[in-house]
Amino acid sequence: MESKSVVLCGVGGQGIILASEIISEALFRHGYDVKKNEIHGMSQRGGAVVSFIRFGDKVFSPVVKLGEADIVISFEQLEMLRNVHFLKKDGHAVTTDIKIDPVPVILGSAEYPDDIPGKVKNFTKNLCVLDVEQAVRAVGNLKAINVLVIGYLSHLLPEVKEKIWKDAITEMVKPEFHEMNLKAFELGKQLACEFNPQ
Amino acid sequence: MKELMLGNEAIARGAYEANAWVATGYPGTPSSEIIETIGEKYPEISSEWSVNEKVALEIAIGSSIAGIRSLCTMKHVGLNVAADPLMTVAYTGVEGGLVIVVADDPGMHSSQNEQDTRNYAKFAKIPALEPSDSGDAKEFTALAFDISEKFDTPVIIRTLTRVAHTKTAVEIKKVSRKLPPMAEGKNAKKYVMIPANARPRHTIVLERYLKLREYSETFAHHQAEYRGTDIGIVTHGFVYNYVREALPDASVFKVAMYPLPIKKIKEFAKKVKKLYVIEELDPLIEEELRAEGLQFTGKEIIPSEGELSIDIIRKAFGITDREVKPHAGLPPRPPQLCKGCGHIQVFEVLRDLKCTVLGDIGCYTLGMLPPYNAMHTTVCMGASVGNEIGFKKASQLHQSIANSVAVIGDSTFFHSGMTGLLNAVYNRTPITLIILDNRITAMTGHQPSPNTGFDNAFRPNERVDMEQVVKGLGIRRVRRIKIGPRTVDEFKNAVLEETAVNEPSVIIADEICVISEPKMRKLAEQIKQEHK
Repeated sequence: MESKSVVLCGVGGQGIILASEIISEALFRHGYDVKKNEIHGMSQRGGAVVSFIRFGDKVFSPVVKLGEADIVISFEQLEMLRNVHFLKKDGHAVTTDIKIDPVPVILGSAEYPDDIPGKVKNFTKNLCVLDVEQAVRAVGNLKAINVLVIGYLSHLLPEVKEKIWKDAITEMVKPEFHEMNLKAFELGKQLACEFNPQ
Repeated sequence: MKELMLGNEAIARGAYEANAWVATGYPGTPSSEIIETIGEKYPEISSEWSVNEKVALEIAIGSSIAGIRSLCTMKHVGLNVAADPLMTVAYTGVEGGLVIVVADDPGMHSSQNEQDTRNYAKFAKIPALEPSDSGDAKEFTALAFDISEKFDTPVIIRTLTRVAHTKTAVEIKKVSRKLPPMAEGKNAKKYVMIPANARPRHTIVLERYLKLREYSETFAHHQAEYRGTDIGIVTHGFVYNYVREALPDASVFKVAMYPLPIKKIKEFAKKVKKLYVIEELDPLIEEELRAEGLQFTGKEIIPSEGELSIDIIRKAFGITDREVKPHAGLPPRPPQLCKGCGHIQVFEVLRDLKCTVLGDIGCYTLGMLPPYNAMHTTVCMGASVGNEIGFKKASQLHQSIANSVAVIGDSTFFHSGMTGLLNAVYNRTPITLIILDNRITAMTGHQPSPNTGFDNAFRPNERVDMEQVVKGLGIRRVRRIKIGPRTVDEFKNAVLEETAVNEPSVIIADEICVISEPKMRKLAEQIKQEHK
């Protein structure tokens, strides 16, 4: 099998690193060779965060090549647009509908781009925008958004058994959040099923 | 059993499996997780955050002389600080194995330069090993200790951001560890580097380097892979991963150790029609192979700056892929001082007072960004103090005192700002130093510093009093201000007063790091409970 690539992105503090930890652990337990890489250091200071996961029979580079990612998942809309060029032709783009103004926008020296979904669709026809408010109403907490996207991802990688995903989640998140996170996982999966009927 | 591990976690594991008993270092991205992992997972190893890399290496040398395998870790620029002991421990050699892990940062993801540590190994005439993933990182760490003892030399492990911070599979071994007997440490001929002793040691260093060259020819981790005979690539360490994906049909020689295995590379070169050298940063391999008379293409097509990538390599070889361009014109999202950081006020005041700010290295370097624009220099750890002395001296030549201040964090001050301050006292330069005291090494991931009250494994210890240190260095004018929205005026007046006086002065802008505060409070409460 040729290597596959997933890119996770968003803003420091959104739980991107934990999500990529859980995903790479699940893929590893499934039996894939996995390499996971991200640039540390800025994650707690509101900077842009990008995490790469590459997996397959044998992976060399942990860094995703432009235009090769099978899936790009963003926790924030502008960051989706910033990283959409990692995606291969008609790969899966998944983003939350969250918008976080970066400093230049706050200071008025730049504008937050409008119609991001429209712009992302110039790169791929497979764009799913996750309605976060609705998701929070269903699972109870914005913090579970990272596991919601794992649920979504699990639908796109059906070869990995559901038990592996759920075990990785329960082992890697704090026990007091298990119930909420498993709910979020189910919801993410359901949203993916609805968006990608097979 | 296999586990996914960061390169840094793998190095920690490698040191554990290789029976290392002392580990020292100073935090620095991308090297910090090595000492963190050892502190957390391998408590039987005596590990610590030293105050700087020079001290860290000197400690590791001391324990090596006592017969103990010792690990010392730092980022690439840290080795500049530790270069003094490095260049001479290269002469003395070791008792217990001495391994120095140095993490480079091609592309400068979080560094002020992208120096290539392989130069230091060559400079000091000591071996360097270059892992390409976490599996190598663990294995090479163990091998480095063996090489160190076999050849009586310190060994550098040169890692980099994409190895240190990538998780890949690592085979875990069960090992039994045994503390070696204490050596007496009395071998003056070998360890007292007066000229009479150092001269014969230099001869030994040169002879040792020749032996290491021979050993490198037998080093099992250099890898010659033959596929097509049209193109042969000589590459090294992590870059091998890019080469394999960019040019899957090429034959590849992967260098894993320096000095280079010249004979092996020549053999490889003979078997391919056209030879290339693909090297990230400096052309070390290239220069040596050119001196050997090999014909090949290298830096003519491969950049000497920044990280390489699959795309860069493919383009260099004229391979065109579907062109992908990022969406243009997007507002950047730079990191910023954390919401609630007390030290934001400092930069607002310095901006409003139009000060020239001689800055330093830490999260507060973000004070250079809008909306503060209140940092104007950042050279290296501790440089703010000396820079401010020089700036003030220049203004004195113009019969004035510059409206300037130096700004430094607490951990950076302990690292190498103290000597600069002593210099200001000694030479009576009227500097103003603002110490942003948040009681942690924040930028690199909140490692404790001497004034945190905890050691590297978060065991409680004595908290060093910043004010006493400053006074002890001879500063008479020192004031501590609890910094925050309510003390803006007090702080502003302090800066105005201190920049006007004709003697060196220090303002300690005191506020615990907003991110680490909850953890510190929890730890303090735990300790209180335990004492009850």
